[in-house]
Amino acid sequence: MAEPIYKPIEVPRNSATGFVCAFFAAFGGFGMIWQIWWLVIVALVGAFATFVVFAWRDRTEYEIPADEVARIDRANRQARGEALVRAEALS
Amino acid sequence: MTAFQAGADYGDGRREEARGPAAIALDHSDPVSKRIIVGYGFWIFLLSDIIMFSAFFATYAVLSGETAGGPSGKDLFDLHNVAIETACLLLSSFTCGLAAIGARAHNGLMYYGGMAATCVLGLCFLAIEIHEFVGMIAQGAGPTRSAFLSAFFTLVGCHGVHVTLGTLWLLTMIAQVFAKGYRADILRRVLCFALFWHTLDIIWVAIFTVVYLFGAGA
Amino acid sequence: MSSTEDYQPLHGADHAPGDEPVGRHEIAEGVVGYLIGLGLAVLLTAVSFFIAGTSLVWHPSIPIALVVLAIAQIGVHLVFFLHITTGPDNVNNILALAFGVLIVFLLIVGSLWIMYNLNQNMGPMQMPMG
Repeated sequence: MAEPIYKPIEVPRNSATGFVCAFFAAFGGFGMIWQIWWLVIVALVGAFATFVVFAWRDRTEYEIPADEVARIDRANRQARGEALVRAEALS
Repeated sequence: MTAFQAGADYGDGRREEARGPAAIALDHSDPVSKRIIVGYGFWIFLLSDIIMFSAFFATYAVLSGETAGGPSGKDLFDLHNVAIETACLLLSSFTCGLAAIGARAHNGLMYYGGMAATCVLGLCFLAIEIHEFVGMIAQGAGPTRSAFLSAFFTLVGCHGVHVTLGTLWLLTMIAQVFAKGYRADILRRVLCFALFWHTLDIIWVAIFTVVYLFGAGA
Repeated sequence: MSSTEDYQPLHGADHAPGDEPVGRHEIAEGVVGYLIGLGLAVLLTAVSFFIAGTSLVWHPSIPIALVVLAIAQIGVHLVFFLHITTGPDNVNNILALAFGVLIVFLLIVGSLWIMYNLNQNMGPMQMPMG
């Protein structure tokens, strides 16, 4: 099959917000169960602070350039072609 | 956001439209915008939140008659307060919509004014609700009095917590636009906030109908 | 989720790298939509409160009337505030909503049904066992 025209792909950057906020939420929940109020306040403030810190990021995406996409896809197509040849040889 | 165009490069200068089933898969001549995708994703989260609330609603519906000899809804609910709370939340939904329009139009007056009005109305709602809760606890009708009251405080309290966190998010969004301007990803966050705030109003419609009007009226 | 707005003049920076100023009439159109939603919602709320407190309506029908009015108002919110319309880009949103409504229905109706049955079939013990 003919090769398509490759364009760059925009990918969101990884973020630890979810993991860190979950950490604070777990400690906050523990504090609420055992009524350790300072822990609850620390957890709430920490979760909100994490949220704000990650919200202030300026670079939220990175781009896979078209050449890289082309390189990966060509490798894919080649492997697929070889597999097809092997399958036909067996049948 | 796809790497393929609706065309094929044969490498010898020819370009041809893809045909057959592949054409349907490759024809992304009008890609869906990030805004639509972000909206869809956040909508799925909001639906999961609504499902969580429906679990609390189911609990309340099952337990609404279990007053353990204590006060029932009829004795406790003041419909005037509920009407004011409903008006506050409904108006705040409207001003939130104005703020969303203002954000997309890059209109500072509409955005900041709308968000400020939403914040004030939200805080009014919270003040009335907290006043009601404190009053109920003071007359011995706290969440530990009966199953009905436990379910009531859980359901309505959970909604109140959502409104509180929403207000915090509101203030953060005001700060974000102030600091970073009307950037595309900031506008998508404003969209998410608006969806969240409107959903809270939808849940309040269900709450004032099922909890307050059923309890106090019928 | 205002999908159709993305392809109409009132679009944000998703489609325009530069900041295009937006005309007054697009803002007005948006505001009118929200105003209609607000008006309908206020009307439905007022009717709900009136029905709950009045003796003009046949008493046993009040809960059903309130539920119908609430569903209508939720519909108004969904269309006018959340923009869940039947536009072409909204199909996914409507499917997700339908699924959510299904789960909510199962949860609430299922809980009520099961608890009602339990209440009926598991009354207080009449005689001690053994």
